[in-house]
Amino acid sequence: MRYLLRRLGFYLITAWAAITINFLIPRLMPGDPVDLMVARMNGQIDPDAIAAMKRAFGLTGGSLWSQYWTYLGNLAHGELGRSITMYPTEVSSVIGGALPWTLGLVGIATIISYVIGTGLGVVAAWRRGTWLDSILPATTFLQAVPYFWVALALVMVFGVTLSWLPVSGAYSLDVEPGFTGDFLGSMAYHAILPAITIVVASIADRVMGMRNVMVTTLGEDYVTMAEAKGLTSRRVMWAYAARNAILPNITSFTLSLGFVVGGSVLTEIVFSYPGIGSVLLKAVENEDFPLMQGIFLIISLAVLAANFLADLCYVALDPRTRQEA
Amino acid sequence: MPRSPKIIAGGVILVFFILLALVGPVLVDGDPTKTTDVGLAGPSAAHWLGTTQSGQDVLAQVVYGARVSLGVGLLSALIATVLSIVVGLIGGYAGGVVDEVLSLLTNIFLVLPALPLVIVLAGYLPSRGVTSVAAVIAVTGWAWGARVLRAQTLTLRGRDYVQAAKASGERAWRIIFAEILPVEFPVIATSFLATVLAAILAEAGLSFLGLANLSTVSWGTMLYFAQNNQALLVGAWWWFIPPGLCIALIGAGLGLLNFGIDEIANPRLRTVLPKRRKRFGAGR
Amino acid sequence: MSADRRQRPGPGSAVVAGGPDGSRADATVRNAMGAGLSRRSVFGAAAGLGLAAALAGCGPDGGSGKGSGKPLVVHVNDTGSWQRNFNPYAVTQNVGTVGLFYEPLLFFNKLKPNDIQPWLATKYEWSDGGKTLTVTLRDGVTWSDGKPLTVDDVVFTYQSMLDDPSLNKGGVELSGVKAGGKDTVVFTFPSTSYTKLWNLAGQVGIVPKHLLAGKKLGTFTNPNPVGTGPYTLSSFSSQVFQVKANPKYWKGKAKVPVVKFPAYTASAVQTGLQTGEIDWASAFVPDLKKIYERNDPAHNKHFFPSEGLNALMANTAKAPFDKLEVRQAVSLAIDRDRLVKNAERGYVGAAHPSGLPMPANADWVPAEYKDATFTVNQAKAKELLAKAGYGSKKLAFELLVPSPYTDFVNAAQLMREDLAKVGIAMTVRGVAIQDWVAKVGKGDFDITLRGAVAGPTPFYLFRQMLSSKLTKPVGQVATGNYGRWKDAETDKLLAAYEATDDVAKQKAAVQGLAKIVIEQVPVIPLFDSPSWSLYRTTKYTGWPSAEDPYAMPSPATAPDLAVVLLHLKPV
Repeated sequence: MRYLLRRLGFYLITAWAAITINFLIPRLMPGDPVDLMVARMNGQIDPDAIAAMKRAFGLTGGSLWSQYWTYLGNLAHGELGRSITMYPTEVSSVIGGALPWTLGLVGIATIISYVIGTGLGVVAAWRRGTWLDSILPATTFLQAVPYFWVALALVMVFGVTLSWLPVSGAYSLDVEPGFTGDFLGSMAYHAILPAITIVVASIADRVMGMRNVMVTTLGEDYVTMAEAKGLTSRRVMWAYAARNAILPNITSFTLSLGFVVGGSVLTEIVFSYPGIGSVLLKAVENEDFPLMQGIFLIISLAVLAANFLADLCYVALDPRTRQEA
Repeated sequence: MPRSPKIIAGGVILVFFILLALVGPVLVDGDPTKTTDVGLAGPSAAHWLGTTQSGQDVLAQVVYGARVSLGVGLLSALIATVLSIVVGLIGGYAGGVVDEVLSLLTNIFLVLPALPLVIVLAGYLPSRGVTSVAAVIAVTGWAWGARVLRAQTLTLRGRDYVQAAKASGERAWRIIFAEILPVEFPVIATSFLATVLAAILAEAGLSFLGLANLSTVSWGTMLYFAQNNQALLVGAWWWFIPPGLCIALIGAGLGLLNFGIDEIANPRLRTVLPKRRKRFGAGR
Repeated sequence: MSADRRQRPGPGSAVVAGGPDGSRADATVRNAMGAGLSRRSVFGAAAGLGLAAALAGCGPDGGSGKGSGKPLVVHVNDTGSWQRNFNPYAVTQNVGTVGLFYEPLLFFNKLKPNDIQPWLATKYEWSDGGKTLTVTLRDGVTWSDGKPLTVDDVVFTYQSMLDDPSLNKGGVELSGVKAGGKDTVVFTFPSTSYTKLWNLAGQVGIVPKHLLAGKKLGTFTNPNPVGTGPYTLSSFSSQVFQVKANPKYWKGKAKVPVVKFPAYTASAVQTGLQTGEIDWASAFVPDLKKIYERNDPAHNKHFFPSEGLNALMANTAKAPFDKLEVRQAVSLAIDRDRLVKNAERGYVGAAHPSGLPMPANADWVPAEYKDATFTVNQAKAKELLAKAGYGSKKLAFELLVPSPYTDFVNAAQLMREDLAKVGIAMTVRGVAIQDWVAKVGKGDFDITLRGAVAGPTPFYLFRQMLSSKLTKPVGQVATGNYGRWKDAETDKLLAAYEATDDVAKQKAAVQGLAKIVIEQVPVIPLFDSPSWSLYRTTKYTGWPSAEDPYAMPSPATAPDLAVVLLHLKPV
């Protein structure tokens, strides 16, 4: 319990740090989104309109300190402000619209990648010294392939050349969103290529991660013991070694779940997927500070939540509750 | 010198690319940005890897691009490694409040999602030169190394030879950098190599999004321009394939090298090996 | 990838959300030009009928045509997702808010100077030396909820802008607006405002008082727009929104029953064009033949008329570009045909030396320069350089370009090669867009490559590039005329145009300005800035073309997209 409280304290401090960094970065950087917008409109906005817009966008002065308190106050009320590129839409509704798509697509792809990758990692470690070892160096190549490169190649081959799979959007233009078979089917169909991209580009990490832990676990006495007892190798592999090796891997999994939120920005962009990645890029391109801050905040909090979840798993699965070294 | 085939293979790949970056420009004549009238020509004797839309030589771009991509990779890995050594070793050795603060800092940077942070920071950069991009990548990529090094330092701190040095009155910084640092070399090396790859990938991702300096030639900007000109849709595979392949090959080289070091180093280290991708997350 | 400016909405677009390049053509957003058009004009009965027919394109017998039309899929600007924002006052409104739902009083055809047609207004009349404008409202127009359009709605629309300056994006200086009778509205201005007509009547969508009164229009997203326009919103999701023809539309139901606006990112647009999913698009296609036309060249058409100018804007406030000879030498050394062919794929033409888009403005250049073209003359350039004192001393300067505008970066490299041939050392510096905007605004540059948008007449282009009223000393942020051109004759000609609504006098003033551009090179024109329009004739015909340029053809241009949709007929 004390361990959990300590961790909770750490997460709170980290969350505060993330919020503060979030607040500071745009204020330390040069430039002003309204000036950019005015430039875009060729300066034909009269000075009164500019001043009024700055007020509306919440860009009026005040000391840094008082701005900070206003910012914290707004956050406490769950207000992330209004996006500038999509003014006057609220940042929270922009994010709310995009988040489910990212969670759905990248979340499912991450789970698939984790399950397959972990399984392969277990087998690779168990079968050390066989032909499987020669595959491992190949995974280093897979680890290094840029996501977007894979994505574009898949679009080219399966989308354009073979015309097997749709290459953009989250569902077909012909279906109406809703809980209908048509819509869900279309959604799944459209998710195939982006999901494959994420799985292909991330699976090598999972294989390697699991193999490394598993190799160490295999050296432990209780595994040797189990083998000595004459248990079937299948049983030793899964019930003894993998079960224990999976524990540290849970951290890596929960961490990657956190990354799901901000993750695969490039994949979403290549596939025109209406998720948080596309929104983030748009925000960056347009210097939309409130939107960038909002997205960043959500991502940071999601990572923290995932970490906390990992801690809970540890407590639940490992009575020794390993403290951080 | 280890005879591991993995180290040799990895080393050969790396040396090849480093040579390419260093002496390649001498062998490939001309300016990679020089335009000609033969746009989108396939590979030929004159242009081994064909030309881009505006008739630039793809081979020359790959060769010059190696400089920027490797440069960003090495530079940001250097910055990140120095940061992680300083934070990790000092924290691990000093303990107490110093360690608490440095650990907190490390953990904060560890949980802040890196690629989105890089994108946000890059969005704010007024000028997007090689160094500023490298710095942004480094700032977000040092934490994992620091955590691993701190854990190592914690174990080493209790070792006899360190205690002996302490007892003989050696100064703390000397113990840290002369006694502990060399022992941790394998860990630092793997962390460094992994960071190089992470940085190359991050630079490619940033360039691909149009957030790096597009007037310099790097593999990332090559991919950006190839995509912008729809190289695949118009069938110009020779423009799109080489830069991505180079990144993947370098990555494979670095990975093999890491593999090799891993095998000769203390096997126990294996479990705490930095898992490269985590640093930049799924957001690569 | 998504940062390529050409894949963004072009000038005249009502959408900022598309991306940074908005800034580039400076362009962009509607209302780009400050002034409006001036022409005292009363639409005669005959002309009014004819023009109104041109506007609507289809008679009231519309909707029930034989082949009930198929849905039209339109790509407007690169965006990963849509937000439900149909507030016609917002700079960031979704495309079509003005045009499809809310209609302006008048329509300005930017492809034909001074081609002004009635829309919600049937006529307008200037009085009091251009300080009072009386507009007569069309009778029998209803909102899509069935309520009639009244002069109160018009007064409310403009009074809101007077009450809240942040809504007055066009910066129209209005001193008052009031109902003049049952069907007339009277606008008063503090000064002669003939040139403000465009911003006032051509860009502002009239909104319903009964629905929007009491709303905070500055922050209202207006999710369910009710307008007088030819379409109503039928469904909305972040991936696609859909509009359907308004059966109560005053000109009769449009013949395109359903229009879909999917959200595509830059690369998805290209695959969408190749697979044939998109019917009408505002997009730059790197290779028209291979990507777009290949499947069906007979039906996959395009029309890229010029809607502005891309030019080298030299900082004339400091050396070396304060010298005419230097500007001339640079202009003479650049091979514009090569720029157009390599950097712009031959989609646009080299600029006319006056900088005016051709052929639309042929009448507005002095007769002696009508057929002038730019030709490379390296010998002459060297001679001029020597005269300016750069014979033995090498001329060196820096070209500032926004690095995400890839065609600009490309053109910059080509120009560097050209200039090197006459001994000029130009370095190219690519910077982030924000940085570029800031530096150019403050005059912290030697020379830059920038776009400027033509308005309904050439006056707007010249005013934007050359008016001393828009510039500021180096160090302060200018709102136009970034090259800091200061010339009494230029200002006199601009003022002469603004003071009159006599077309002959206006033409004389513009010809004088064209002459200044040609002879004194305050900016160095390079190539046209096109309006991108790719359209398929498989479902509908009647698109704007070089033969019949009735509106800007790009769907990113509002309110023109509504005019185009009303012209379409099912195949």
